[in-house]
Amino acid sequence: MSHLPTTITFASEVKAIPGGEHLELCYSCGTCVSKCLIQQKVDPAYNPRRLLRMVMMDLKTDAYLDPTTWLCSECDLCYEACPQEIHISQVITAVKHLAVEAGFTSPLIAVSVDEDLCSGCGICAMVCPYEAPSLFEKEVNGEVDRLSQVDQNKCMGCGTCVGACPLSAIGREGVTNTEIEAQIPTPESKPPTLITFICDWSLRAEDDLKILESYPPDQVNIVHIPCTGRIDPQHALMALDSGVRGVLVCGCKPGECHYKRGNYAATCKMGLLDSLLGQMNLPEKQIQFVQIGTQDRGRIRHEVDGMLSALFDIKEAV
Amino acid sequence: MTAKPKLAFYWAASCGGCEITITELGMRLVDVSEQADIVFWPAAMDFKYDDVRQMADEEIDVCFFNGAIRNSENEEMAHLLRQKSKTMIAFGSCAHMGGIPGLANMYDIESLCQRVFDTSPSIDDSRGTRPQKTTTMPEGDIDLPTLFDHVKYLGEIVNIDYFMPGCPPVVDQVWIVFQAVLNGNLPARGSVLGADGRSVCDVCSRDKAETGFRINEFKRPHEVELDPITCFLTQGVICCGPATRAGCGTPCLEGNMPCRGCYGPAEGVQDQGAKLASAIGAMIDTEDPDKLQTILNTIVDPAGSFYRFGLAHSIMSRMKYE
Amino acid sequence: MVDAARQPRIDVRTYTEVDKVEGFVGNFKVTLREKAKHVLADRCNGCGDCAKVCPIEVPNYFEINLAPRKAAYVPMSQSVPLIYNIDLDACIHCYKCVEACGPLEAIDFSQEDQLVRENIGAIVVATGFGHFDPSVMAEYGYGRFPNVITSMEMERLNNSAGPTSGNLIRPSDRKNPLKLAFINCVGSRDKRYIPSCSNFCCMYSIKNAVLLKQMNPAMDITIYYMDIRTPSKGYEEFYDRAREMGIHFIHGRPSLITEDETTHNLFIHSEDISLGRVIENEYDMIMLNQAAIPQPDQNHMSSVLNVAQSPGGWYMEYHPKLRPMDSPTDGIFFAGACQGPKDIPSSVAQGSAAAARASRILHSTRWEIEPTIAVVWPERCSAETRGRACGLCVKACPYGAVVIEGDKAAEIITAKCHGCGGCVAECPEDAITQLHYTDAQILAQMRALLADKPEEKILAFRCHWCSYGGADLAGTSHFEYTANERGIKVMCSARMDSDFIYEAYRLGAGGVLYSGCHPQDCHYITGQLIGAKRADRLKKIFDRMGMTDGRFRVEWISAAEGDKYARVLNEMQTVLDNMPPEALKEEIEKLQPDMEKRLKRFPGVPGVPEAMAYGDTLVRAIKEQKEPA
Repeated sequence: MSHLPTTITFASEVKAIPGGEHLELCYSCGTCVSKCLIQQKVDPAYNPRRLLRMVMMDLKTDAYLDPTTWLCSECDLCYEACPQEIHISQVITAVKHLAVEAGFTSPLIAVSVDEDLCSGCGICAMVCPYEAPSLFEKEVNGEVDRLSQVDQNKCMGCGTCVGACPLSAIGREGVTNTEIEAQIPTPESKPPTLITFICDWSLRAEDDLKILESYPPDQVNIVHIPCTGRIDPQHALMALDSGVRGVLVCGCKPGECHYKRGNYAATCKMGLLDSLLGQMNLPEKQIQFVQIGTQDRGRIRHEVDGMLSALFDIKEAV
Repeated sequence: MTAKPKLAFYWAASCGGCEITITELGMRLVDVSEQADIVFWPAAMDFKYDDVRQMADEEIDVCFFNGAIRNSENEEMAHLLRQKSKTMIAFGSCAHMGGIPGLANMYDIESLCQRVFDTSPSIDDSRGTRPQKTTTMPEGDIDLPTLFDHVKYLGEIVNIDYFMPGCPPVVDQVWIVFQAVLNGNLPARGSVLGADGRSVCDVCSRDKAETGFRINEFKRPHEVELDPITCFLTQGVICCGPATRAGCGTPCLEGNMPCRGCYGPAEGVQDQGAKLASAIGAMIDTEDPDKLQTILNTIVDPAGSFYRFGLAHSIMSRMKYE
Repeated sequence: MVDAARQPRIDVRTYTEVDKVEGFVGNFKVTLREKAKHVLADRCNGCGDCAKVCPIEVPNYFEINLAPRKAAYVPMSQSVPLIYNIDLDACIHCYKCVEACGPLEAIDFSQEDQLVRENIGAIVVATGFGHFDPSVMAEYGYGRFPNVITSMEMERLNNSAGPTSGNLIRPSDRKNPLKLAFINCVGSRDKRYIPSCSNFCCMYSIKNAVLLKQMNPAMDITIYYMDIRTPSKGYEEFYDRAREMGIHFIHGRPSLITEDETTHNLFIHSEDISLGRVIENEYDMIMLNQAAIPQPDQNHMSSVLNVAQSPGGWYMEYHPKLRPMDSPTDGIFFAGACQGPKDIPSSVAQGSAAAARASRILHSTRWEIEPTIAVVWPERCSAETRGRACGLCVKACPYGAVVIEGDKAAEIITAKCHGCGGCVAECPEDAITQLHYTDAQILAQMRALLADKPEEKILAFRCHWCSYGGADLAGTSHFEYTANERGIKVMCSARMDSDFIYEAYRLGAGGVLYSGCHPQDCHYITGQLIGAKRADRLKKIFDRMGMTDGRFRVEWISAAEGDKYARVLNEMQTVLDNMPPEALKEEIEKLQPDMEKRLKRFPGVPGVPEAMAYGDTLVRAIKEQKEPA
């Protein structure tokens, strides 16, 4: 073949990394940009189409500094949507990889480990969708201690590790246990009927978020979490113990989690919680886990109304 | 203090293991009996309740109370001993958080009686026997204590000064605590005795999973040949170590069995079982989300696995019985 | 259409399918299946009384299932001929239609499909295109959200003869929509569904927008596009006009459509690329411009007609630029979208062209064919020598020109033979020869070219259409390449018999080049595939024999690749140069017995011994520096 490039360009560097092969097929249709929620919910400058263009036009530094490179959470919604079948999230990850090699670092605030509390159990390393934590050994007071550390360029801040960590030893501002527990009512503080833990990505339309916020606070309280992977059954039980009558956990459908596998972790946790309530003969309907799809506009209203009426039935039954 | 300290040991709803752990001190018990007066120990010696009733308030210096509160007798003795003791220690998992008897909180009295008196494998001819509160005999009426509808832990009905977890607390720790008691070296009230501030994982030396390892099937310990070197979780076996307080010296792990959580929740854990469900649930994975439920079904008894010793102390128990 | 039906020399047969096509150009025997309409054509006057009384309603395919038709029906009111049809799959046999038809007695439930065999001189295929079903694209909600429709449905809704008499209404509540969006490229240009562009949708998208806007200027219409393709005369001006009318164009491909479950209004999520911003807009109704796809029975008809299909399933033309309305099978022509999506002017032009090409056939008394046709020696065919034909020649022919009937020897339908020579080379019994390219003729050329110092020579087999042209181009372009090259032309690489290659090496050739067209360029469609398979097999055999790598080369070189031809020959020369002469001689001698073994049957081919004898006299003459006898 006589068409092989003779110079190494930024595009050829990215294409050499698995997943990046077909990026030149991009004809800038923009489907990926609107399928992804990051531009809408986090940063208007986020734009995968533009990043691919930067790669093709050899704009290396622009690409390394672009928020797209660092904010992509590899959920692959764009890959499913791309009519040219480009694995867009892999291209972005390839750019990130090259950027890290070139000495750039993520602007995101990663979780960090409190080494005084960490027991080195390794659970954070097992549950993280991005394999950001890893165990290492350190000498503390003459003894070898096993601890966890987090690669800040891999952490996307989903909080799955925070939910799983037994000792509250990992976290960052915004997702700590203290901050969430502060939003759980106490018996003295007039608990609402329903408390909703909702992930930041499940309600695509702004209208839907307004619907959720339209319920009066004595009926529905909202706790925002980055991902349902952050869910801790302890919090659901604490809420019920304080007098809240029901807990609704709202996340994304299988395959649509913004953080790849947070909703699978949540499904398992909520499944176990369901079994535990069942074994204790407590009404299982008081804790519900619903998974909302990208096209389920308006569904949140049904879920909340449905939950409120189910709680009414439980109260009547008791 | 020239007078010898007065010690009391009592067993409520208990298996007797906590008493055995004290006798396991062996010859060191002789030292104890030289340095202290054991004024009440019905398991080992012939003491009567009236002996306690006749004591002055706070006459007992330290009371080691083990066993859960299952019936009115347990409760009466808990109150009595609290009144008569300066310091009350909840000794062992049952007193600390309900222990194994606490698992009865999943059932009601009638279901329990059916199992015990009707359907248990050792019953040959069930006659529908049920314990009667009062039975009239020629000599007079005999009363049984009232069975409560659920198991409580000691701290639920009386103020306790210390707790010493374990099922039973390991004998080396018992000796350390006894020495502290005899030397007047107990820490601030409310502290834990005979245990660490860390979790079992902290002191476990097994090889941990690689980053990104996930579980796609759970196995019970008897279903798999357990590897003595690697973390139980990596072998698909539930180990309560991550959320359990250390201090026991991990005899179970040394015996190649997973931790069952008898030392109770580690510092920072609100509800031991819920936290374990959170940690272990999050590490389940499969390429196929439809298979998640199948994997969850391989956890045969979630309450028994995660709340083996602490169900009576759990938020769920509180929700159910308040 | 009425004019066509009235023309005495045009026979319009509706509800009829082509079951079988046999024969060849000018002499096709076509079996038509005239399906039973259960209505007698000579009695029905198209009054429609049967349809009026029929109690059964089923979706009307012509109205894109937006309106019903009866079991007794015509597809549309202007059907030609206006003869009704009873759909037995829907009919409940109440016979109300028979009653209504009355004295005309035009309905006959006993009617059966008729198979009719016609003599046909030429065939023009104009079967049109099908529509991609967007329900597979879950993100657009077609099939779930009632107010998302396709472009074909829109055509019926705003057609004055359609189900709503041209009054555009929303399916959910029958209200007139005011705010519409059209999404282009639904299914088209999409590697997950239809990778190609559907050609005409940009224009009809704009057309529909202009039409609706003309009818109701208050309408708010937006077209979401990836590119606007308006290439032909007046098209770009039409696009301008649409913009001037206030039709909005958003450069961006929507990723998602969501629906408000109460109003059934729709929300399009798309990036506006010109702004670089994600937008969400609400619409009353959305039209999806669905991709054009081949008709569902195109695969089946391909086999019936014995024509090939291009990638994507459209019928394959003889040559995309030079003969776009001819099929590779003589006598069959294409008109319109069946050969590839195209708009009306192009379809009309192609239709006229196809008609002209067809009429050539109908007006000739003779048909000119290639002279290099294949001819069978039936007595050598294994049908006669072993009792059963092997059929390899049938498999080799791209045109279906070879037929084997029963136990008889293979027969070649001369009119169908295009002269590639594939069957000649494939035949294991050497029972077929090619006029003007017989084995003897080629062997004679080989003997002449390799008479003197064969070990220095590189014998290049080239195909007429490509690699020979490439060699020519190398020459006229003055690209320097080794003077030791000697070329032999055949029509197609399919003709390059293994025997020639073995013989070349047996005669002591230093190198042999096996060259032809690139796979997609073969003049004989699939001839190169046969040549390539054979060449790969030969390469493996020579590798196993221990031949030095580079002495046998297989290369596909187009007529434009003169530089490649020169390079390849020079590379082969380098290989020979790098071998010490003794080593080369040794290798040639070492492999000769093997070559001889493989050529055991070759001397039995008619003409070959004579050619060999001729060669021998050449060599003798050269050795004796005398003129050959």
